[in-house]
Amino acid sequence: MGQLRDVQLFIRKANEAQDLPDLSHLLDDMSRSLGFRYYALGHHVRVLSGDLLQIANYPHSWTERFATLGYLSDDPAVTACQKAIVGFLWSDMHRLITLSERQKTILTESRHAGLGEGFTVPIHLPGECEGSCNFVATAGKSVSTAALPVAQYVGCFAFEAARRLALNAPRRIAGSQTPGIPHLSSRQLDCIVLAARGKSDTDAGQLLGISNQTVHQHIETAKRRYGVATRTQLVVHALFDSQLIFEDILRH
Amino acid sequence: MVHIVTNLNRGRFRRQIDQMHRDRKRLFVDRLKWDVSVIDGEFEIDEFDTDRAIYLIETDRTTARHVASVRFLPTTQPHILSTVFSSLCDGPVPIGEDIMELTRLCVSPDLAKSAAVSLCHHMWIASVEFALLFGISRYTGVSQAQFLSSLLSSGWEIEPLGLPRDIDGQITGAVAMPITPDTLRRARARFGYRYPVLEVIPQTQAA
Repeated sequence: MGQLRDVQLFIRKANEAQDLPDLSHLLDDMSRSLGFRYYALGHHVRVLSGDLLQIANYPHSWTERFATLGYLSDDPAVTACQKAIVGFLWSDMHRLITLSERQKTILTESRHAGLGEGFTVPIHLPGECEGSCNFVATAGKSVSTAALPVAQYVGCFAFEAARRLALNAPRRIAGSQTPGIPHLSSRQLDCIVLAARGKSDTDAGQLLGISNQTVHQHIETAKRRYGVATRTQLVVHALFDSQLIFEDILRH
Repeated sequence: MVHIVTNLNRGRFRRQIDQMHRDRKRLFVDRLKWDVSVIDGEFEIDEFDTDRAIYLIETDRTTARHVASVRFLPTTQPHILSTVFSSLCDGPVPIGEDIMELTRLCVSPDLAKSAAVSLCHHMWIASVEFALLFGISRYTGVSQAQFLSSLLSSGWEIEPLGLPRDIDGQITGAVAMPITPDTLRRARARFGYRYPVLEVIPQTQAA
């Protein structure tokens, strides 16, 4: 009951957080009370606009080395996230992935920097780049398994709070007074998916059993709703808003 | 449009209800490997699919076929959280006239993933409209932990009723979702909806 109350309290405070530093304090306190010492929450890929969501309290020397040597793309926890749907302990990581030599080096170096056992909560949101919330104990300290369900929930709620604070600044769609995502019909989405796969209007029309002019019309209407000029912009906007997801385009 | 299917009008939706049970079997049993009962090898139907269950069903505009659905159970009667998963609640299972359990959110497995994702959003908006129309102040439900982030990013307010546990290899938790007019406003803004998606049955036609 006490643990649930801790989670509920964290959720309330995270929802009330005004900015990322507020949330950082909450995560710092929460990681300590769960028996960890450090946390790191963020996206795994640098998005085009440069707004990489990233907050952490790792030792400064480690953060610097990590960035200088470009470890993010090889971070074993990041790689393991692609195979995991729920939180995992770093000591179990070998069950998810085969560690490369570089990844073993990263782990060894992180231990020297003071990072011990970690617990990573992967965040997979359709159409958004992957992220995670990590809790890490001081090297040499063990982690109680009773803390993990709490960490699982705290990670998810913290990530959503961070997302809201960093990314949910009200956006306005050009030519429209309504903030938010323009509505696209399922037919329009079909046409956009096929365009994103490189199909011509004629090919898309044949696949969908409609004329090429109708395909053209659907895409033009969708472009107008987004207030964009090109099909490329349309695809990128629809992906960003999760109206489309990468699997539709790449793994069909 | 999303149809509200209750024991008063289910005669009009026999075909769609059949298709819903078939799609539920293909989604929950064949794809997600849930251990739930299957009737005649084709239909996923459990002891809670009774007259008291209310379904929201979305149909294809041209074929009128079932494409998505969700089931609501009154919490004043036995339901999944009060029977199968009551141990997931730290305190008492929330029960009340204004609380319903949301279960079996199903999108036809034939659909492409982006269509499925947008239909999920559509059904979530329909569920919020349904709650506001019928005076429901919160939903309860059981969710696997990996779906929590998606629910949160879609604008649902989620209150854990207990900590998640490993159930048959799936990290699963009981949650409550309070619904207010603000929930609807946020959900509509998030997904670009300006008009209601529910088809409301007038009292005179309900029977």
